[in-house]
Amino acid sequence: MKIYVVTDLEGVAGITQWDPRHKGDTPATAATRAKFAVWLAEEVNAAARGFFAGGATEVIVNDGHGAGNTMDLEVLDRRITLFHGTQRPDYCTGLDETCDALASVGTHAMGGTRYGNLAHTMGRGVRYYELNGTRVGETGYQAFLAGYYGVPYIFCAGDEWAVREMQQLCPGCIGAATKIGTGPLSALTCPPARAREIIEEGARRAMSVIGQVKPLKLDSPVVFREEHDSQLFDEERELPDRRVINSHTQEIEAETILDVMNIKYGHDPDWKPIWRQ
Amino acid sequence: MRMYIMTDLEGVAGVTQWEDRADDGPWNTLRRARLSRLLAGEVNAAIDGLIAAGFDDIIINDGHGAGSTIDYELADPRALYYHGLERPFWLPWLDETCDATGAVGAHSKAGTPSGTLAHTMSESIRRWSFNGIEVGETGLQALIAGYYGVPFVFAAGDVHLCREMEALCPGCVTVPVKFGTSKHSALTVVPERARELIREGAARAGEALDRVEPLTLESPVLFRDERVEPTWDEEAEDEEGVRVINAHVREIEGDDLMDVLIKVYPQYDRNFKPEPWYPGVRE
Repeated sequence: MKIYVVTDLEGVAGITQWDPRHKGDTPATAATRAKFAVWLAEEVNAAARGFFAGGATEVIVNDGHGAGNTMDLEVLDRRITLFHGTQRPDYCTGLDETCDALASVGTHAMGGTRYGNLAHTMGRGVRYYELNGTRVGETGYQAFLAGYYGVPYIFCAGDEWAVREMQQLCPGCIGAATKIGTGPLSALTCPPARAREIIEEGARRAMSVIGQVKPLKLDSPVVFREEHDSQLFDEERELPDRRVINSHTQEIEAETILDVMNIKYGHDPDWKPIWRQ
Repeated sequence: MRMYIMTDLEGVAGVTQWEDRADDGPWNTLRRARLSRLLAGEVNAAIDGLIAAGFDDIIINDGHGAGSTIDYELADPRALYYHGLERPFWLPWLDETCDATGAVGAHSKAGTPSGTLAHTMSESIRRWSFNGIEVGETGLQALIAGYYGVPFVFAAGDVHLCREMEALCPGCVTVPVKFGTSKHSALTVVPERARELIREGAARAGEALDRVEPLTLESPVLFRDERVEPTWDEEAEDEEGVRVINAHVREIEGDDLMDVLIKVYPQYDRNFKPEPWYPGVRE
């Protein structure tokens, strides 16, 4: 049983502020970042312990927070394989039909979620993402991508609002709610030590819903719609595969969600990891 | 039994200087990390004592201005912690579901002679009173708790704050961990001793439940807001319920405490009533 885990930073218990990596390299930001790196890694370790206890034989972790190298790999459980770094060849490298389930750790709610702690979708100026009319945050997007490969989304650890979002999208998946946001920068939380216990327990139980939770499916063609706070799109300009609705909004239509991703991020559609060549 | 603890930094044993959140340098970063550990140590001691007293549901409000001051690496996992900035209200989850409230790291109100780092909210405030009752931050917390029928039973911090709360909420348990001798000086016990005292005091907080009355106000509530600097415009049109007495003083009248607080803090959401919440696995 192979479990693919996408991580993010904003849903980690004990964190209510944005990653200070853009605030300059000072002793204060360094201390904060080093602390957050350990907290994230320990939540991932807790999830991995739960997955292995529940029957997993392989856990692949995608260090998904924007920095690309956020978690402290010196403390990472030795059984984990880690995918990390920037300028990646595709969106969720290694997530394919050989995986048995998708999970997420450090999960935050989608942009616009009332009271969601650090809620956002990709960039902070994104109003919403939609796939064939269904609103998705980052994790919902990943769940649809997994669904393309027939892989179910089984486990969400993070903000209560993210857990609710994912349980609505993927009925039957297990949540581990370690904090509840009360606004963009505030939350009621359990401290990291307790969060790890809850995550381990939740991950262990999530293994038993594999086979019960249905992979998310999208009819073809797939229409991806995005709306931004800023005027990003030029209504006068014709682009292949894109439809500008107005200066804030565009749609990408393609055969599959994978094609949508490749168009959106300019990834090479023919790229395959070495283990699939 | 549910206990709501407000925390602050200035009343923690070992603290006589303001926290400097602007200085990003190495020494100040070390100092701030130490302040976080000192606060966490006192909070943990309080949790330990409160659990011994029979409180099994404890919310810690990480109330100091930085929004997230407690060192969460050290935080006792038996409590929940409210932290962060731009909050929808000052004391979320302090409501009728709580059995009692208390404070750790508390400092005395603005103008207290010899109170270490004495202030009320910010250094711009000279005096606050509600229906003639003078309060600092901890007194205001007791009033908000009283609004929900919840008694204030426990305070740890500067001795001057302890006396302040004993007068406001007779019968509450107090734990002085330092004796303020001026704004920036104090006679203090060392952190380890402070934690022993706080644990001991918190373990007795349950006994105070029967003898302390919730601190309540008669309606209407008249809030008097006196500032150090000339702040209020004497010529301005009167806002509903707000009366400028002179450039330093204004009065705000409302039906109850919450009416008044929303006028003082328009960014707060009066309708924000968080649901009871516990972390855990969700099926």
